[in-house]
Amino acid sequence: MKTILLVDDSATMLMSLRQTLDMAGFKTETASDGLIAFNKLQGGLKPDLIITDINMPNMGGIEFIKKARTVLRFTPILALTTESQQGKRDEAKQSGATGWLVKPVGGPDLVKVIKQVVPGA
Amino acid sequence: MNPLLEQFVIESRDFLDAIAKGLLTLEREPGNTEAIDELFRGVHTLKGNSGLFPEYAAFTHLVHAGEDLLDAVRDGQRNFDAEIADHLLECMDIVSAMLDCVEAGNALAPTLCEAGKELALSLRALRDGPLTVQPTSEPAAAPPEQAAETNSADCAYSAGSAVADSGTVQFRYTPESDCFFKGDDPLFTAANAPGLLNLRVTALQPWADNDAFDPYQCNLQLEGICAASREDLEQHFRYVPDQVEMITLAANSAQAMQDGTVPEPDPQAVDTLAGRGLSEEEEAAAGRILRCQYEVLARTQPDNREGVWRSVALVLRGLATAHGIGHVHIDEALDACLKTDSGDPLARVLDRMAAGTRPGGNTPAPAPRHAAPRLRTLSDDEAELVDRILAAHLKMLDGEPTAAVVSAASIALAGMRRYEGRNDDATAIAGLSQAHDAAGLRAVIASWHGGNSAPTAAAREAAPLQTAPPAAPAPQPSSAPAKRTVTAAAARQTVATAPAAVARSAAGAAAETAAAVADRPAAASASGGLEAIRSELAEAAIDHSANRVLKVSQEKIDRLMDLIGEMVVAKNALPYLAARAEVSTNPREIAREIKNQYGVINRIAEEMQDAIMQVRMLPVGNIFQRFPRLVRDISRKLGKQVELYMEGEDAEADKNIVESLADPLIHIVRNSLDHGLEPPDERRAAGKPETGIIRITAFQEADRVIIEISDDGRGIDPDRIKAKALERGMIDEARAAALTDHEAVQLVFAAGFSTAEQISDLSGRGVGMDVVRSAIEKAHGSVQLSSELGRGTRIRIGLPLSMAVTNVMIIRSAEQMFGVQMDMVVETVRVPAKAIHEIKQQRTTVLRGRIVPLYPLNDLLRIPTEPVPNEDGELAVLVIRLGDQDVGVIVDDFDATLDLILKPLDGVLGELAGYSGTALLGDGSVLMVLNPKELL
Repeated sequence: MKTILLVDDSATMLMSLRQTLDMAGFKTETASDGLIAFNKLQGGLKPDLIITDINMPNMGGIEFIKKARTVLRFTPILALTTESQQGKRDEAKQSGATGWLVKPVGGPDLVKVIKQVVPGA
Repeated sequence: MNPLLEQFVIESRDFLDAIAKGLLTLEREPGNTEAIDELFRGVHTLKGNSGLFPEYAAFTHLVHAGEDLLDAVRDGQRNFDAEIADHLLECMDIVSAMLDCVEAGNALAPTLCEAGKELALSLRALRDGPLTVQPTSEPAAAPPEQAAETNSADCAYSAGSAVADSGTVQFRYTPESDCFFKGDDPLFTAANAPGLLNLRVTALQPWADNDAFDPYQCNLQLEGICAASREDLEQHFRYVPDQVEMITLAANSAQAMQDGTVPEPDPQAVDTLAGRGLSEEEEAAAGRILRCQYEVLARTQPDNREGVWRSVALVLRGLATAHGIGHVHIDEALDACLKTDSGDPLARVLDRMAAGTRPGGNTPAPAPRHAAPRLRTLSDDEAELVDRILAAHLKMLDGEPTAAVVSAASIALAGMRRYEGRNDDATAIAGLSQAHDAAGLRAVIASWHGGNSAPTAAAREAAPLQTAPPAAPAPQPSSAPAKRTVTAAAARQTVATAPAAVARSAAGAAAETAAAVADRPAAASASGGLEAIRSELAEAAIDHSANRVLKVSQEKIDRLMDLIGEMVVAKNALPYLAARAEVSTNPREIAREIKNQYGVINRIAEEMQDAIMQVRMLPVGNIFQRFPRLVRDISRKLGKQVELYMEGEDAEADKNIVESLADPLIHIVRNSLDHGLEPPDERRAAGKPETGIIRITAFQEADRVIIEISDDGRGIDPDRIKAKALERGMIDEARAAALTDHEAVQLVFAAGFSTAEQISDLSGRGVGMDVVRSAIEKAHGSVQLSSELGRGTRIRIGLPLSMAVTNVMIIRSAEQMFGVQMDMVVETVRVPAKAIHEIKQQRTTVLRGRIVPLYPLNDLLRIPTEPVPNEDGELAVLVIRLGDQDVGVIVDDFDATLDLILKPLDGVLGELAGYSGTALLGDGSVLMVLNPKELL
């Protein structure tokens, strides 16, 4: 079973993502900011995919992606953005994100994208 | 409610609290970037979350507007000021009310959506300055008369041509017939081409008969126009390079897409539709298309404007080409737009095409722009419509309309003036809107027809363009009965393929304008209603923050969890003991073991009780949170300057206590603001600093939490209070003369007392301090007031930490047991019978130098028995504090004190005021707990 690490400071967003992913048969791990997520990675968590929000307290998404890349070189990372954050997408991409998702994400689209970026999912 | 929605509501409420707090912080320290970032993040996340629920689009829309405004503040484009704070706070109020709807499982109330929409408009207005909320007046904002504007535009025009059209590429993608077997998805690929403006899918060969049709063979040709560089497109089609042809487009090729012909541009062409010999129908169609473009332009958002401009330019080009007009100026305008980041150049071109003035072709000569616009004669129908529109607007502008109403009205009025060809007037109207001058707009309406008589007959005849009246600029090109439908179709398709937002906003603009104008004569009353909703919302926001969800620290729950574990183990010992008892011959030993075990379980139960109480403990800061907002709103309303200090928010008390405190505290703070603190000039005259101070302090004192509210205002005048009490017949002359100042001031707690000569809408709503007192006493608290005339007022509220368990002293009288709450008992004394004196039929005694009146409990309960003294002839006296006075109650004997769970009397006993409740004793008997305050 593929594990997906979800990073978002909004519990609602996490819950929504989890509902979709649980149903699609993924195992999910959550973290409410970049720092917690990074600590999880350092603690040995090896997700098959990371989906992270950009705007978060303590450690934002961009910084988290950069840091995550020091630990996990090949794990796909998707950044959660809103349509008004075009600049952030490029920044995320430069920091090492594989791609981005535009909020609100959910349902079949999300699963489709995940199947594209996670080999064997 | 589904769990996701529930989570959303809970989290959103937290965000709203944090946002309100952040806004107030920011107002105090506008430069606090950390606060801005945090605030922005809160609003941003709120918006993102609400996006998960498409049914609450109005919610998202409003929060989005707030987010954009905050974004502008964060980027330093806007200074955070009180106006922005007001708007954002209001925004959060509406959002909070919307959340109520969500929580109740309802759709958002239409009035709220309405209010939200209006507010979103003013939020956007605040962000962008007044221009962008006036869709049709945008062209008027850059009138030809303004020399500076014209010059800058000229520069842009002449410089523009060099880069004309570098970014428009046409592609023709002819997929191989077996492409499906190679995993290609031609439609998907083409539809996702970067900067796609238009896509056309045609059959390559005529379709075969049904029998011969092979669905696995691709027989398509996909053609599109993209506003992107050739390299980007090559990159996009990198897997099928051999199947794609690309042409970097010449300027006029929008038309080529439509009919496959590229008309020769006429070098001599004029660039206006007037005088082109068009039929009436054609002119009407063209006019409608142009009007659409105004709407589209006016709805430009920062993130879509390039696409919008390109699409508008394409439509104009199509239109120009169809009518044989030169289009160089359109391309130049587009470039100018892209360069200057403003839609004005295109708007000017639109003006010219619609109104029929020449921009001067390639030579930047400003002169032609001064050509007076031609005036139009209105048909009878139109004139009648105009009158109706004017009447509706006059109603709308009645009273004190909001900024959004003023701007909506001015948009409509300016649009009508422009339609008549009176651009000067339109400009003037737009100016009024910027100044939010409702009175000016009313004057404009009043003198509408007076100003209309000026045009000469010749000018009236020269109607350059027949278009639909501005009141109904419905963007429905499909209904255009034009011969050259090609043009209309071009417009439709372009609008359709432009970013969806544009199409939506065009429709939205039409709907809004229509709503704002004649279709809804009720607009005036509706906007009045909105105002009312707003003030209600502000109230609700203040009363709202009562916590529906109890948040408990992990630590407290962990402790409870440990105790439960211990309890389970302790419980397991009981069956073991029971088994022993069955076979044991030594009952005493078993009894001892059971007692031991009881001791263990008892300890655990006590600890669990304590732990549960801890869980219920809330910091009083929870109710303090709302005060900054309350003080801010009210002090602004009253024109007073107030600084609020709060201390001790961490002091904890039981949830019920904290919540029961909320209303009394709000009332007290309101009183302080309204009656206590003086306006700045009065303070200055009294030699005080202009800014008044309200201080709210909470702290724990023994087993009570104390909350003090003090202000440095004018204090309470005891003479006025006395006079008022006399007037109300609450006291008589003699009593008034005997009252000390301190006692007089306490009269404010008496029922039905209000000294405010003028009842304001803040305090003095008919509920006075008596309500405060009774609410606090209900929670077994006490309230004391002290005031110094001219110096300020201090109110001290004392509350028990918890209401769940009451410490009760058991007393005996007339061979019955009664309870008295310990927090009322000052002391218990034995008084020798001879130390009791009768003064004026009132038994009294002297305790530590004070005279204490004595009442036998039996008398109070109408039990015809005398109190029984003990062997030494002493009477048991329970000294109880009532307000400031100590009163002795004579009973037969005292008994133990117990922690009991007090149940209020209900049913037929509910009327018995002399008892505060009942409790079950360990032996199962019922103890009546007295309420001495009522008895005495």
